[in-house]
Amino acid sequence: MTRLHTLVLAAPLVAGFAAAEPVTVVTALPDFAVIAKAVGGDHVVVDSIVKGNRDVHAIELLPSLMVKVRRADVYVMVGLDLDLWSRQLIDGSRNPRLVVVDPSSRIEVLEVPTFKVDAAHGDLHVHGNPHYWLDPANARPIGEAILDGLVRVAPQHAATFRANLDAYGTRINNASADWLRRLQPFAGAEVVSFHNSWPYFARRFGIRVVDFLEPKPGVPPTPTHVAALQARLTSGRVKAILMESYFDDRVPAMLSRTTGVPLVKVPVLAGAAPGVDDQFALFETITRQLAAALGGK
Amino acid sequence: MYRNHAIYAVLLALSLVATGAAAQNINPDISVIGDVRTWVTGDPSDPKDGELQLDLESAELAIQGYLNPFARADLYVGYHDGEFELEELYATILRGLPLGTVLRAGKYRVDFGKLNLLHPHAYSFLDTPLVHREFLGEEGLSDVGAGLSWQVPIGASSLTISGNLLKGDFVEAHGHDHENGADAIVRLARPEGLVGAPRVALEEPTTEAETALGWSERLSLFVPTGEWAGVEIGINALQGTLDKLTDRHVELLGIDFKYRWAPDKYRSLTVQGELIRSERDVLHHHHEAEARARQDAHGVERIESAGYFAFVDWRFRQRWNVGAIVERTDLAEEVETAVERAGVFAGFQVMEESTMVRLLLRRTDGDEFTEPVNEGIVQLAFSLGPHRAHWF
Repeated sequence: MTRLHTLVLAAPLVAGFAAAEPVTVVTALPDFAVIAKAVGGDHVVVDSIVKGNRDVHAIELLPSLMVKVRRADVYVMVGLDLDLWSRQLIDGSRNPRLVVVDPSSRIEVLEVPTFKVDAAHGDLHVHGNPHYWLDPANARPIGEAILDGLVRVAPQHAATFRANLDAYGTRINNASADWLRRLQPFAGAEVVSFHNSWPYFARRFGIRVVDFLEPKPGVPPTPTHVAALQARLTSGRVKAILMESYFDDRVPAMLSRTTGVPLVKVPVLAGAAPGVDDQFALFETITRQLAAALGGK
Repeated sequence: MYRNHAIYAVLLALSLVATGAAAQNINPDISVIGDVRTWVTGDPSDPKDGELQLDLESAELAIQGYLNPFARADLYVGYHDGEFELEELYATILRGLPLGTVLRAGKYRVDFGKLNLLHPHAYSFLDTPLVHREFLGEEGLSDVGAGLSWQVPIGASSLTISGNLLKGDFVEAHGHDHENGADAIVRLARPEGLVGAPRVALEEPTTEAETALGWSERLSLFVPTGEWAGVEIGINALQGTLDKLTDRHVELLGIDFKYRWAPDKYRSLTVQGELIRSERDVLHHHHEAEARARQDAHGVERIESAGYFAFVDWRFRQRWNVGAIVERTDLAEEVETAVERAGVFAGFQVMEESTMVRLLLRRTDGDEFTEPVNEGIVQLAFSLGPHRAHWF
């Protein structure tokens, strides 16, 4: 992280004082692109590395992605070692004026290990759980980090960027209140998820994630682990299997079929499903499907 | 030379890392890769023909990290056949140079073709292709040098031009002799019928060769063919001096292609191949002393040869892949002698990609005087530490 922060601090030294209009922003995640567009408005053009229903942990490092970053003024990474590929994209971009933004430095990080982490724990993230965009309340600090990056490149629009961020923050706060209201009846409900993507969402909406299909982070389900899960699911306490849409659903579908626990397969990224084009549609989809499953509908 | 000092370099590097433990955040990444194999070969000339054999094929230590926000350094030390060798040690200035150029200096794997950039432990088909062994060296082409690369974006595509000035040790790919130093001229051939086996010296080294600086160039074009797919085509050239006194040179010309489609983490398809043409001056045995005494090129014959490989690698589950490879190469220093090899392979990740079990079944055909050799090899390759993902 220190190296990355150094990167962030050093980039403005060569970034020049004001980029040509509009500012080009490339983000690791499509959700960050949505926020960057909301903050930058007409003064930015945005694109993202991850598109569609793609596992953010495993990205093909195509030269075309490096070309994309080469043309950018601002790059927004995820941080917390989720997108280690972002470092390689930045290295391969050959872009010395790139301003690198790491929003993870602005959020309250959950599940920071307090023990020595090694590969015996699977792909456990040393600096804490990196799926922080799945809490709508984190849209604001993510937007703040992006705003700082944009201001470095286009300081003349700082006031506009700030007003745009305030407006976006208000909109998502209002929407978040509605999602909270609809999930409030299920506070404390136990779910099993495929990957440990949900601590931020669970904290916000009061869901309890009690187990995972992956025996360790990043390790595909094993027969022994699936058998143990099957026993747990038949206990009746677990109300849903919650899974990210980019994972293979054969094992969770089998578990759902054999135990009767509903499977909730939802996108975790903007653009990962038809009609889910922004954060509002993303959280609306998750809320609707999860509430339906937990409510027995 | 590199072999003798590699282990001391590693110990020094590790001690420096250890003494910096208080500043853990700026420590480089350290990885260890192991390659254990068991195999059986149906080769009548092998004393262990038909017996199950087992060995530590290789081990590799990688230390990698940033020198500053715009530059990295990489160190790879390999262990093969009971010896340590400094495989690579180089610094790369990634950003900040004029025109977006990238500068690399040190000892590194030269970008002659796409495959040569990878270390052999990353190959799904287990071994360095025959054409690389014959023309680039047992473990591929690496040398001390300095290289520049320049990339021109064309829409979403990119054209990359690179050039390397090389010390010239790469020409010794056909003459490694640890006892007598890297500069000794050694006549080499394989044991009869044992195609692909380590070479042995037919006679004692005579005199020191005087190598000179060499050059390599590469022009490549990458074109995306979808959100998560693309094709790269490259043209490669290399010029080197085998011995200044006898005025012997080597020139290589190659073309390569790679197509890869990886729509998600569960599936991918890679189709890749390379063709290399070699022109190499060979000094005939009976003329060598005379030629070197007269310091002319008498007795030198220019041998033209060529070879290729092509493979397909299909990942059909997150942890499973299968594929096939075909190869053919002329021998670089012998006329009208060729070797052909074909194999099928399968790989399985034990839990994660950090632990791989691979199986290779292959058949090698030499000349008309040698029997075909069938082999079966099982490899356990493991990676300890944060070894970085490879680029396309």
